[in-house]
Amino acid sequence: MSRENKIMSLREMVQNFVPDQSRIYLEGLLVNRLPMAAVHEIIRSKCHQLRIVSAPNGLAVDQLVGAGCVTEVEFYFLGFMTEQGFASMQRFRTAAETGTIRVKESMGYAIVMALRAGAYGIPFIPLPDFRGSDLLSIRTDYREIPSPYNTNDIVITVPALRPDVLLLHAHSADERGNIFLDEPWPNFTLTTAQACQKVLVTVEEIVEPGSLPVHRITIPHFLVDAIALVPYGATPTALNQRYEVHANHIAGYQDAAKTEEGFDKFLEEFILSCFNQRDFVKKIGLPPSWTRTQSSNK
Amino acid sequence: MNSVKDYTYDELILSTLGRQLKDRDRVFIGVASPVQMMAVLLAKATHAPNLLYFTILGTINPSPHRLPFSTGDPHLFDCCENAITFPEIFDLANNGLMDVAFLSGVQIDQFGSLNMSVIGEDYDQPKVRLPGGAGGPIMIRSFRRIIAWRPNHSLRNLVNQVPFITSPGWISSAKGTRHGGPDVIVTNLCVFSFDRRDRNIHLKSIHPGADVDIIKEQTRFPFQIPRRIDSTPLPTQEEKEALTNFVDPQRIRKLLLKPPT
Repeated sequence: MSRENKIMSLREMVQNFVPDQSRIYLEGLLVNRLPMAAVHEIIRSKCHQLRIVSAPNGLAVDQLVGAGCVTEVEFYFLGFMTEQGFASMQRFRTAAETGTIRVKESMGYAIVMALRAGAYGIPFIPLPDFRGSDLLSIRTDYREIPSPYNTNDIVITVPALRPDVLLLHAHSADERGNIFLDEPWPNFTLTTAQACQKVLVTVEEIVEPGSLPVHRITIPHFLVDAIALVPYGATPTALNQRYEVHANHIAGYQDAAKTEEGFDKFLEEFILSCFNQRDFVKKIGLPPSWTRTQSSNK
Repeated sequence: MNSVKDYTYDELILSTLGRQLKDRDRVFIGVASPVQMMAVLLAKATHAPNLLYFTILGTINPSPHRLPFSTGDPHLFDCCENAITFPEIFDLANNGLMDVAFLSGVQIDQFGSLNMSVIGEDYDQPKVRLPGGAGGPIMIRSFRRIIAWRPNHSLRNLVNQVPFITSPGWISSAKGTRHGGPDVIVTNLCVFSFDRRDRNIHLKSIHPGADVDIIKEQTRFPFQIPRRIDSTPLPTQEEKEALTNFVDPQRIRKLLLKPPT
Protein backbone atom coordinates (compact mmCIF):
# COMPACT_ATOMS: atom_id res chain seq x y z
CA MET A 1 0.00 0.00 0.00
CA SER A 2 1.41 3.34 -0.96
CA ARG A 3 1.88 5.92 1.69
CA GLU A 4 -0.31 8.98 1.78
CA ASN A 5 1.42 11.92 0.09
CA LYS A 6 -0.19 15.35 0.00
CA ILE A 7 2.66 17.19 -1.65
CA MET A 8 1.85 18.84 -4.95
CA SER A 9 2.85 21.93 -6.86
CA LEU A 10 1.28 25.21 -5.86
CA ARG A 11 -0.36 25.34 -9.29
CA GLU A 12 -2.01 21.95 -8.75
CA MET A 13 -3.07 23.00 -5.27
CA VAL A 14 -4.89 26.05 -6.56
CA GLN A 15 -6.40 24.24 -9.53
CA ASN A 16 -7.64 21.31 -7.45
CA PHE A 17 -8.80 23.08 -4.33
CA VAL A 18 -9.71 26.68 -5.17
CA PRO A 19 -12.65 26.64 -7.59
CA ASP A 20 -14.32 29.91 -8.57
CA GLN A 21 -16.71 31.24 -5.90
CA SER A 22 -14.75 29.60 -3.08
CA ARG A 23 -14.90 31.24 0.30
CA ILE A 24 -11.30 31.59 1.42
CA TYR A 25 -9.87 32.36 4.82
CA LEU A 26 -6.48 34.05 4.60
CA GLU A 27 -4.08 33.46 7.50
CA GLY A 28 -1.29 35.80 8.56
CA LEU A 29 -1.41 39.17 10.26
CA LEU A 30 -0.29 42.64 9.13
CA VAL A 31 3.23 41.92 7.80
CA ASN A 32 3.64 38.47 9.34
CA ARG A 33 3.46 35.37 7.10
CA LEU A 34 0.73 36.25 4.64
CA PRO A 35 0.25 33.42 2.11
CA MET A 36 1.53 35.65 -0.69
CA ALA A 37 2.80 32.94 -3.05
CA ALA A 38 -0.61 31.27 -2.94
CA VAL A 39 -2.29 34.64 -3.50
CA HIS A 40 -0.10 35.28 -6.54
CA GLU A 41 -0.86 31.82 -7.93
CA ILE A 42 -4.60 32.41 -7.50
CA ILE A 43 -4.19 35.61 -9.50
CA ARG A 44 -2.20 33.78 -12.22
CA SER A 45 -4.86 31.07 -12.34
CA LYS A 46 -7.48 33.79 -12.90
CA CYS A 47 -9.84 32.56 -10.19
CA HIS A 48 -13.11 34.47 -10.10
CA GLN A 49 -15.81 35.50 -7.68
CA LEU A 50 -13.90 34.48 -4.60
CA ARG A 51 -15.32 35.39 -1.22
CA ILE A 52 -12.54 36.39 1.14
CA VAL A 53 -12.62 36.23 4.91
CA SER A 54 -9.66 38.15 6.14
CA ALA A 55 -7.57 38.46 9.25
CA PRO A 56 -5.85 41.88 9.18
CA ASN A 57 -3.83 40.93 6.10
CA GLY A 58 -4.57 43.82 3.79
CA LEU A 59 -1.78 43.32 1.28
CA ALA A 60 -3.12 39.91 0.20
CA VAL A 61 -6.70 41.18 0.01
CA ASP A 62 -5.70 44.30 -1.91
CA GLN A 63 -3.90 42.32 -4.62
CA LEU A 64 -6.72 39.78 -5.01
CA VAL A 65 -9.29 42.56 -5.25
CA GLY A 66 -7.18 44.62 -7.67
CA ALA A 67 -6.72 41.58 -9.92
CA GLY A 68 -10.48 41.12 -10.12
CA CYS A 69 -10.62 37.75 -8.35
CA VAL A 70 -13.01 38.80 -5.58
CA THR A 71 -16.73 39.55 -5.15
CA GLU A 72 -16.91 39.78 -1.36
CA VAL A 73 -14.57 40.71 1.47
CA GLU A 74 -15.37 40.01 5.08
CA PHE A 75 -12.87 41.84 7.27
CA TYR A 76 -12.28 43.91 10.38
CA PHE A 77 -9.07 45.76 9.65
CA LEU A 78 -7.17 46.19 6.39
CA GLY A 79 -3.94 48.16 6.37
CA PHE A 80 -0.63 48.19 8.21
CA MET A 81 2.19 50.48 9.27
CA THR A 82 5.33 50.99 7.23
CA GLU A 83 8.26 53.36 7.31
CA GLN A 84 6.22 55.65 5.07
CA GLY A 85 3.32 55.71 7.54
CA PHE A 86 -0.03 53.95 7.39
CA ALA A 87 -0.45 51.80 4.28
CA SER A 88 -4.08 52.03 3.30
CA MET A 89 -5.33 49.31 0.95
CA GLN A 90 -6.08 51.32 -2.12
CA ARG A 91 -7.47 48.77 -4.60
CA PHE A 92 -9.77 47.47 -1.87
CA ARG A 93 -10.80 51.01 -1.01
CA THR A 94 -11.64 51.93 -4.58
CA ALA A 95 -13.60 48.71 -5.08
CA ALA A 96 -15.53 49.29 -1.86
CA GLU A 97 -16.18 52.95 -2.64
CA THR A 98 -17.49 52.19 -6.12
CA GLY A 99 -19.49 49.19 -4.96
CA THR A 100 -17.76 46.68 -7.23
CA ILE A 101 -17.23 44.30 -4.30
CA ARG A 102 -19.55 43.34 -1.47
CA VAL A 103 -18.18 44.56 1.85
CA LYS A 104 -18.96 42.54 4.96
CA GLU A 105 -17.49 44.54 7.79
CA SER A 106 -17.06 42.85 11.13
CA MET A 107 -14.86 43.11 14.20
CA GLY A 108 -11.93 40.99 15.29
CA TYR A 109 -13.61 39.18 18.12
CA ALA A 110 -16.72 38.38 16.07
CA ILE A 111 -14.65 36.69 13.35
CA VAL A 112 -12.59 34.86 15.96
CA MET A 113 -15.69 33.63 17.77
CA ALA A 114 -17.38 32.67 14.49
CA LEU A 115 -14.31 30.58 13.61
CA ARG A 116 -14.39 29.01 17.06
CA ALA A 117 -18.04 28.08 16.49
CA GLY A 118 -17.03 26.58 13.14
CA ALA A 119 -14.23 24.63 14.79
CA TYR A 120 -16.43 23.48 17.68
CA GLY A 121 -19.15 22.27 15.33
CA ILE A 122 -21.88 24.47 16.81
CA PRO A 123 -24.21 26.65 14.71
CA PHE A 124 -23.60 29.99 16.38
CA ILE A 125 -21.87 31.49 19.37
CA PRO A 126 -22.77 34.30 21.79
CA LEU A 127 -20.57 37.36 22.37
CA PRO A 128 -20.79 39.87 25.19
CA ASP A 129 -23.11 42.79 24.46
CA PHE A 130 -21.63 45.37 22.13
CA ARG A 131 -24.80 47.28 21.28
CA GLY A 132 -24.22 50.86 20.33
CA SER A 133 -21.96 49.89 17.45
CA ASP A 134 -23.51 50.53 14.03
CA LEU A 135 -21.96 47.25 12.91
CA LEU A 136 -25.10 45.67 14.31
CA SER A 137 -27.24 47.60 11.84
CA ILE A 138 -25.26 46.47 8.80
CA ARG A 139 -24.68 42.89 9.98
CA THR A 140 -28.23 41.60 10.05
CA ASP A 141 -26.81 38.10 10.62
CA TYR A 142 -25.60 39.23 14.05
CA ARG A 143 -28.53 39.05 16.47
CA GLU A 144 -29.26 40.57 19.86
CA ILE A 145 -30.93 38.04 22.13
CA PRO A 146 -31.60 37.83 25.87
CA SER A 147 -29.31 35.36 27.56
CA PRO A 148 -31.28 32.15 28.18
CA TYR A 149 -29.74 32.03 31.67
CA ASN A 150 -30.22 35.61 32.77
CA THR A 151 -32.80 37.44 30.72
CA ASN A 152 -31.49 40.80 31.94
CA ASP A 153 -28.34 40.18 29.92
CA ILE A 154 -28.23 40.69 26.19
CA VAL A 155 -25.80 38.64 24.16
CA ILE A 156 -24.95 39.07 20.49
CA THR A 157 -24.91 35.87 18.49
CA VAL A 158 -22.81 35.36 15.39
CA PRO A 159 -23.25 32.40 13.03
CA ALA A 160 -20.45 29.83 12.75
CA LEU A 161 -17.90 30.51 10.05
CA ARG A 162 -16.90 27.50 7.97
CA PRO A 163 -14.87 28.81 5.01
CA ASP A 164 -14.28 26.43 2.10
CA VAL A 165 -10.55 26.91 2.08
CA LEU A 166 -7.79 27.96 4.46
CA LEU A 167 -4.61 29.39 2.96
CA LEU A 168 -1.66 29.25 5.33
CA HIS A 169 2.07 29.66 4.92
CA ALA A 170 4.13 27.76 7.52
CA HIS A 171 7.68 26.64 8.19
CA SER A 172 7.65 22.89 7.60
CA ALA A 173 5.52 19.91 6.73
CA ASP A 174 6.01 16.23 6.14
CA GLU A 175 4.40 14.46 3.19
CA ARG A 176 1.45 13.26 5.25
CA GLY A 177 0.59 16.88 6.00
CA ASN A 178 1.74 17.44 9.57
CA ILE A 179 2.43 21.16 9.81
CA PHE A 180 4.93 23.06 11.94
CA LEU A 181 4.48 26.78 12.37
CA ASP A 182 7.49 28.15 14.23
CA GLU A 183 5.85 30.72 16.47
CA PRO A 184 5.66 30.60 20.25
CA TRP A 185 1.95 29.94 20.60
CA PRO A 186 0.23 29.19 17.31
CA ASN A 187 -2.85 27.55 18.76
CA PHE A 188 -5.42 29.76 17.08
CA THR A 189 -4.12 28.61 13.71
CA LEU A 190 -5.24 25.11 14.69
CA THR A 191 -8.72 26.40 15.58
CA THR A 192 -8.87 28.12 12.20
CA ALA A 193 -7.80 24.93 10.43
CA GLN A 194 -10.56 23.04 12.24
CA ALA A 195 -13.11 25.58 11.06
CA CYS A 196 -12.12 25.44 7.38
CA GLN A 197 -13.25 22.63 5.11
CA LYS A 198 -10.03 22.36 3.08
CA VAL A 199 -6.66 23.26 4.53
CA LEU A 200 -3.99 24.26 2.00
CA VAL A 201 -0.49 24.95 3.26
CA THR A 202 2.60 26.28 1.54
CA VAL A 203 5.83 25.61 3.44
CA GLU A 204 9.48 26.63 3.46
CA GLU A 205 10.67 23.04 3.69
CA ILE A 206 9.53 19.44 3.54
CA VAL A 207 10.89 17.25 6.30
CA GLU A 208 11.21 13.47 6.60
CA PRO A 209 8.04 11.70 7.74
CA GLY A 210 8.14 11.24 11.48
CA SER A 211 10.86 13.83 11.99
CA LEU A 212 8.60 16.53 13.44
CA PRO A 213 8.51 16.06 17.21
CA VAL A 214 4.91 15.64 18.34
CA HIS A 215 4.96 18.84 20.39
CA ARG A 216 5.99 20.79 17.32
CA ILE A 217 3.03 19.74 15.20
CA THR A 218 0.80 22.80 14.90
CA ILE A 219 -1.80 21.14 12.67
CA PRO A 220 -2.06 17.32 12.54
CA HIS A 221 -2.05 15.70 9.10
CA PHE A 222 -5.66 14.54 9.13
CA LEU A 223 -6.85 18.16 9.04
CA VAL A 224 -4.62 19.04 6.08
CA ASP A 225 -5.51 18.51 2.43
CA ALA A 226 -2.58 19.73 0.38
CA ILE A 227 1.03 20.81 0.83
CA ALA A 228 3.19 22.78 -1.59
CA LEU A 229 6.87 23.45 -1.14
CA VAL A 230 7.33 27.19 -1.70
CA PRO A 231 10.45 28.75 -0.19
CA TYR A 232 9.90 32.44 0.50
CA GLY A 233 6.19 31.74 0.24
CA ALA A 234 5.31 34.70 2.47
CA THR A 235 7.54 37.24 0.71
CA PRO A 236 7.18 40.25 0.62
CA THR A 237 5.88 39.77 4.18
CA ALA A 238 8.07 38.27 6.91
CA LEU A 239 8.38 34.79 8.36
CA ASN A 240 9.52 34.26 11.93
CA GLN A 241 13.14 33.06 12.15
CA ARG A 242 13.51 33.01 8.34
CA TYR A 243 13.20 36.34 6.57
CA GLU A 244 12.27 39.95 7.03
CA VAL A 245 9.63 42.16 5.47
CA HIS A 246 10.68 43.21 1.96
CA ALA A 247 10.01 46.85 2.72
CA ASN A 248 11.12 48.27 -0.62
CA HIS A 249 8.87 46.01 -2.61
CA ILE A 250 5.89 46.83 -0.39
CA ALA A 251 6.62 50.56 -0.72
CA GLY A 252 6.74 50.11 -4.51
CA TYR A 253 3.42 48.28 -4.45
CA GLN A 254 1.77 50.97 -2.35
CA ASP A 255 2.94 53.54 -4.83
CA ALA A 256 1.73 51.56 -7.84
CA ALA A 257 -1.65 50.67 -6.32
CA LYS A 258 -2.66 54.32 -6.08
CA THR A 259 -4.14 54.02 -9.57
CA GLU A 260 -5.67 51.21 -11.57
CA GLU A 261 -3.07 51.69 -14.31
CA GLY A 262 -0.26 51.56 -11.79
CA PHE A 263 -1.70 48.42 -10.27
CA ASP A 264 -2.09 46.75 -13.65
CA LYS A 265 1.52 47.46 -14.48
CA PHE A 266 2.59 46.04 -11.14
CA LEU A 267 0.43 42.98 -11.70
CA GLU A 268 1.98 42.32 -15.10
CA GLU A 269 5.54 42.89 -13.97
CA PHE A 270 5.59 41.10 -10.62
CA ILE A 271 2.83 38.50 -10.78
CA LEU A 272 1.65 37.58 -14.29
CA SER A 273 5.05 37.63 -15.93
CA CYS A 274 6.57 35.57 -13.11
CA PHE A 275 6.15 31.85 -13.57
CA ASN A 276 6.21 31.13 -9.85
CA GLN A 277 7.34 32.44 -6.46
CA ARG A 278 10.99 31.60 -7.22
CA ASP A 279 10.77 33.82 -10.27
CA PHE A 280 9.12 36.58 -8.26
CA VAL A 281 11.67 36.46 -5.46
CA LYS A 282 14.50 36.52 -7.99
CA LYS A 283 12.97 39.55 -9.64
CA ILE A 284 12.57 41.60 -6.46
CA GLY A 285 15.82 40.39 -4.91
CA LEU A 286 15.80 38.00 -2.01
CA PRO A 287 14.23 39.43 1.10
CA PRO A 288 16.77 40.18 3.82
CA SER A 289 17.20 37.01 5.79
CA TRP A 290 16.52 36.73 9.46
CA THR A 291 19.23 37.96 11.72
CA ARG A 292 18.82 36.92 15.25
CA THR A 293 18.89 40.14 17.18
CA GLN A 294 20.01 40.30 20.73
CA SER A 295 16.69 39.54 22.23
CA SER A 296 16.56 42.37 24.71
CA ASN A 297 18.33 45.23 26.29
CA LYS A 298 17.57 43.93 29.73
CA MET B 1 9.73 65.72 38.23
CA ASN B 2 12.51 67.60 36.57
CA SER B 3 10.89 68.52 33.28
CA VAL B 4 13.13 69.95 30.61
CA LYS B 5 12.87 72.96 28.33
CA ASP B 6 14.64 71.47 25.34
CA TYR B 7 12.25 68.77 24.28
CA THR B 8 10.91 67.77 20.88
CA TYR B 9 7.36 67.12 19.67
CA ASP B 10 7.83 63.34 19.61
CA GLU B 11 9.11 63.36 23.19
CA LEU B 12 6.14 65.42 24.36
CA ILE B 13 3.59 63.09 22.74
CA LEU B 14 5.27 59.88 23.92
CA SER B 15 5.62 61.24 27.42
CA THR B 16 1.96 62.33 27.46
CA LEU B 17 0.74 58.96 26.20
CA GLY B 18 3.08 57.08 28.51
CA ARG B 19 1.88 58.94 31.59
CA GLN B 20 -1.67 57.72 31.02
CA LEU B 21 -0.38 54.29 32.08
CA LYS B 22 0.11 53.06 35.62
CA ASP B 23 2.48 50.59 37.14
CA ARG B 24 0.95 47.08 37.02
CA ASP B 25 -1.46 47.99 34.24
CA ARG B 26 -2.15 45.25 31.73
CA VAL B 27 -2.09 46.96 28.39
CA PHE B 28 -2.98 45.84 24.88
CA ILE B 29 -1.31 47.23 21.75
CA GLY B 30 -3.35 46.51 18.65
CA VAL B 31 -2.87 46.82 14.91
CA ALA B 32 -0.83 49.62 13.34
CA SER B 33 0.27 51.01 16.72
CA PRO B 34 4.05 51.58 16.81
CA VAL B 35 3.60 54.98 18.51
CA GLN B 36 1.51 53.42 21.25
CA MET B 37 4.08 50.67 21.65
CA MET B 38 6.82 53.26 22.13
CA ALA B 39 4.72 55.02 24.77
CA VAL B 40 4.27 51.72 26.60
CA LEU B 41 7.99 50.97 26.49
CA LEU B 42 8.69 54.49 27.76
CA ALA B 43 6.27 54.08 30.67
CA LYS B 44 7.80 50.69 31.46
CA ALA B 45 11.30 52.17 31.43
CA THR B 46 10.31 55.00 33.77
CA HIS B 47 7.34 55.06 36.13
CA ALA B 48 5.66 51.72 35.35
CA PRO B 49 8.27 48.93 35.51
CA ASN B 50 5.68 46.31 36.41
CA LEU B 51 3.40 47.07 33.51
CA LEU B 52 2.48 43.99 31.48
CA TYR B 53 1.78 44.54 27.82
CA PHE B 54 0.37 42.35 25.09
CA THR B 55 0.67 42.92 21.36
CA ILE B 56 -1.61 41.86 18.52
CA LEU B 57 0.82 39.01 17.75
CA GLY B 58 0.11 37.75 21.26
CA THR B 59 3.61 38.53 22.51
CA ILE B 60 3.85 39.56 26.16
CA ASN B 61 6.33 42.25 27.20
CA PRO B 62 8.49 42.19 24.08
CA SER B 63 11.58 44.38 24.42
CA PRO B 64 12.80 44.81 20.88
CA HIS B 65 16.37 45.72 20.13
CA ARG B 66 15.12 47.75 17.20
CA LEU B 67 11.53 49.05 17.21
CA PRO B 68 9.45 47.64 14.37
CA PHE B 69 7.27 49.90 12.23
CA SER B 70 4.57 47.25 12.20
CA THR B 71 3.24 45.74 15.43
CA GLY B 72 2.91 42.57 13.33
CA ASP B 73 6.66 42.23 12.89
CA PRO B 74 7.65 38.67 13.91
CA HIS B 75 10.84 39.96 15.57
CA LEU B 76 8.56 40.60 18.54
CA PHE B 77 8.36 36.81 19.02
CA ASP B 78 12.09 36.78 19.51
CA CYS B 79 12.27 39.17 22.43
CA CYS B 80 9.09 38.52 24.42
CA GLU B 81 8.69 37.02 27.88
CA ASN B 82 5.81 34.82 26.86
CA ALA B 83 3.02 34.65 24.34
CA ILE B 84 -0.66 33.88 23.91
CA THR B 85 -2.81 34.67 20.88
CA PHE B 86 -4.88 37.76 20.27
CA PRO B 87 -8.24 35.97 20.62
CA GLU B 88 -7.18 35.08 24.13
CA ILE B 89 -6.43 38.72 24.90
CA PHE B 90 -10.06 39.53 24.06
CA ASP B 91 -11.15 36.61 26.25
CA LEU B 92 -9.07 37.94 29.15
CA ALA B 93 -10.64 41.38 28.72
CA ASN B 94 -14.15 39.88 28.80
CA ASN B 95 -13.25 38.34 32.13
CA GLY B 96 -12.15 41.70 33.49
CA LEU B 97 -8.47 40.82 33.43
CA MET B 98 -7.21 43.57 31.12
CA ASP B 99 -6.83 47.23 32.06
CA VAL B 100 -5.92 49.46 29.15
CA ALA B 101 -6.26 49.42 25.38
CA PHE B 102 -5.26 52.00 22.83
CA LEU B 103 -7.96 52.64 20.25
CA SER B 104 -8.48 55.40 17.78
CA GLY B 105 -10.85 56.64 15.15
CA VAL B 106 -10.28 58.44 11.90
CA GLN B 107 -13.15 60.49 13.32
CA ILE B 108 -13.88 60.90 17.02
CA ASP B 109 -16.90 62.74 18.42
CA GLN B 110 -17.91 64.50 21.63
CA PHE B 111 -19.09 61.20 23.16
CA GLY B 112 -15.84 59.47 22.33
CA SER B 113 -17.48 57.30 19.67
CA LEU B 114 -14.99 56.18 17.05
CA ASN B 115 -15.51 55.91 13.31
CA MET B 116 -13.18 53.53 11.49
CA SER B 117 -15.70 52.37 8.89
CA VAL B 118 -16.97 54.85 6.30
CA ILE B 119 -17.24 58.55 5.56
CA GLY B 120 -20.25 59.54 3.47
CA GLU B 121 -24.00 59.04 3.48
CA ASP B 122 -24.27 55.72 1.66
CA TYR B 123 -22.64 52.85 3.58
CA ASP B 124 -22.54 50.69 0.45
CA GLN B 125 -20.88 53.31 -1.73
CA PRO B 126 -19.13 55.57 0.74
CA LYS B 127 -17.08 58.61 -0.09
CA VAL B 128 -14.20 57.06 1.85
CA ARG B 129 -13.85 53.43 2.87
CA LEU B 130 -11.83 53.34 6.10
CA PRO B 131 -9.74 50.35 7.27
CA GLY B 132 -12.21 48.96 9.83
CA GLY B 133 -12.37 49.11 13.61
CA ALA B 134 -10.35 45.96 14.38
CA GLY B 135 -11.40 44.79 17.87
CA GLY B 136 -12.71 48.20 18.92
CA PRO B 137 -16.48 47.69 19.17
CA ILE B 138 -16.13 45.24 22.04
CA MET B 139 -12.78 46.37 23.46
CA ILE B 140 -14.16 49.83 24.17
CA ARG B 141 -16.29 48.09 26.81
CA SER B 142 -14.25 45.13 27.89
CA PHE B 143 -11.10 47.07 28.84
CA ARG B 144 -11.21 49.26 31.95
CA ARG B 145 -9.59 52.25 30.31
CA ILE B 146 -9.28 53.33 26.70
CA ILE B 147 -6.67 55.77 25.49
CA ALA B 148 -7.22 57.35 22.08
CA TRP B 149 -4.32 58.93 20.18
CA ARG B 150 -5.50 61.27 17.44
CA PRO B 151 -2.80 63.16 15.53
CA ASN B 152 -3.81 65.88 13.04
CA HIS B 153 -6.31 67.51 15.38
CA SER B 154 -8.74 69.17 12.95
CA LEU B 155 -12.39 69.86 12.15
CA ARG B 156 -12.37 66.79 9.91
CA ASN B 157 -11.23 64.43 12.67
CA LEU B 158 -12.88 65.80 15.80
CA VAL B 159 -16.51 65.95 14.79
CA ASN B 160 -19.77 66.68 16.53
CA GLN B 161 -21.21 63.24 15.90
CA VAL B 162 -19.59 60.49 13.86
CA PRO B 163 -21.73 59.45 10.85
CA PHE B 164 -20.99 55.79 11.57
CA ILE B 165 -20.31 54.45 15.06
CA THR B 166 -17.79 51.66 14.73
CA SER B 167 -16.96 51.66 18.46
CA PRO B 168 -19.51 53.35 20.72
CA GLY B 169 -18.38 55.92 23.25
CA TRP B 170 -20.25 57.35 26.24
CA ILE B 171 -23.65 57.39 24.58
CA SER B 172 -26.85 56.68 26.42
CA SER B 173 -28.35 53.41 25.35
CA ALA B 174 -31.03 50.93 26.27
CA LYS B 175 -31.45 50.01 29.91
CA GLY B 176 -29.09 47.30 31.03
CA THR B 177 -26.46 48.08 28.47
CA ARG B 178 -23.03 48.59 29.90
CA HIS B 179 -21.41 51.80 28.83
CA GLY B 180 -17.93 52.23 27.58
CA GLY B 181 -15.75 54.79 25.93
CA PRO B 182 -12.38 56.46 25.99
CA ASP B 183 -10.97 57.94 29.17
CA VAL B 184 -8.71 60.33 27.35
CA ILE B 185 -8.11 61.56 23.83
CA VAL B 186 -4.57 62.75 23.24
CA THR B 187 -4.13 64.92 20.15
CA ASN B 188 -1.25 66.94 18.78
CA LEU B 189 -2.73 70.04 20.48
CA CYS B 190 -4.17 68.90 23.80
CA VAL B 191 -5.55 66.20 26.06
CA PHE B 192 -9.32 65.78 26.38
CA SER B 193 -10.78 63.64 29.10
CA PHE B 194 -14.21 62.38 29.98
CA ASP B 195 -15.53 63.28 33.38
CA ARG B 196 -15.81 60.15 35.53
CA ARG B 197 -19.28 61.16 36.77
CA ASP B 198 -21.20 62.74 33.91
CA ARG B 199 -18.92 61.54 31.08
CA ASN B 200 -18.91 64.94 29.45
CA ILE B 201 -15.82 65.78 27.48
CA HIS B 202 -13.54 68.45 28.84
CA LEU B 203 -10.21 69.96 28.07
CA LYS B 204 -7.70 68.46 30.46
CA SER B 205 -4.46 70.07 29.37
CA ILE B 206 -3.03 72.09 26.53
CA HIS B 207 0.27 71.28 24.86
CA PRO B 208 2.86 74.06 24.78
CA GLY B 209 2.38 76.22 21.72
CA ALA B 210 -1.38 75.67 21.49
CA ASP B 211 -4.11 77.69 23.19
CA VAL B 212 -7.84 77.43 23.82
CA ASP B 213 -8.71 79.47 20.73
CA ILE B 214 -6.69 77.28 18.37
CA ILE B 215 -8.23 74.17 19.91
CA LYS B 216 -11.77 75.59 19.60
CA GLU B 217 -11.08 76.53 15.99
CA GLN B 218 -9.92 73.02 15.16
CA THR B 219 -12.64 71.11 17.04
CA ARG B 220 -16.17 70.64 15.72
CA PHE B 221 -17.71 69.66 19.06
CA PRO B 222 -18.26 71.74 22.17
CA PHE B 223 -16.17 70.82 25.20
CA GLN B 224 -16.03 71.97 28.79
CA ILE B 225 -13.21 74.30 29.68
CA PRO B 226 -12.12 74.28 33.31
CA ARG B 227 -11.60 77.62 35.03
CA ARG B 228 -7.91 76.97 35.40
CA ILE B 229 -6.43 75.19 32.41
CA ASP B 230 -3.39 73.03 32.92
CA SER B 231 -0.52 72.96 30.56
CA THR B 232 0.50 69.44 29.48
CA PRO B 233 3.50 68.48 31.64
CA LEU B 234 6.76 68.55 29.72
CA PRO B 235 8.93 65.47 29.28
CA THR B 236 11.50 64.84 31.98
CA GLN B 237 15.21 64.29 31.55
CA GLU B 238 14.66 60.68 32.61
CA GLU B 239 12.07 60.19 29.85
CA LYS B 240 14.30 61.78 27.22
CA GLU B 241 17.16 59.53 28.18
CA ALA B 242 14.97 56.42 28.23
CA LEU B 243 13.79 57.19 24.70
CA THR B 244 17.28 57.78 23.37
CA ASN B 245 19.09 55.02 25.18
CA PHE B 246 16.56 52.29 25.56
CA VAL B 247 13.19 52.62 23.87
CA ASP B 248 14.15 53.90 20.44
CA PRO B 249 17.88 54.35 19.84
CA GLN B 250 17.23 54.21 16.07
CA ARG B 251 14.95 57.24 16.41
CA ILE B 252 12.07 55.87 14.35
CA ARG B 253 9.90 58.15 16.52
CA LYS B 254 11.15 61.01 14.37
CA LEU B 255 9.51 59.39 11.32
CA LEU B 256 6.28 58.45 13.05
CA LEU B 257 5.77 61.65 15.02
CA LYS B 258 6.60 64.58 12.83
CA PRO B 259 5.79 67.95 14.39
CA PRO B 260 2.66 69.52 12.90
CA THR B 261 3.50 72.25 10.41
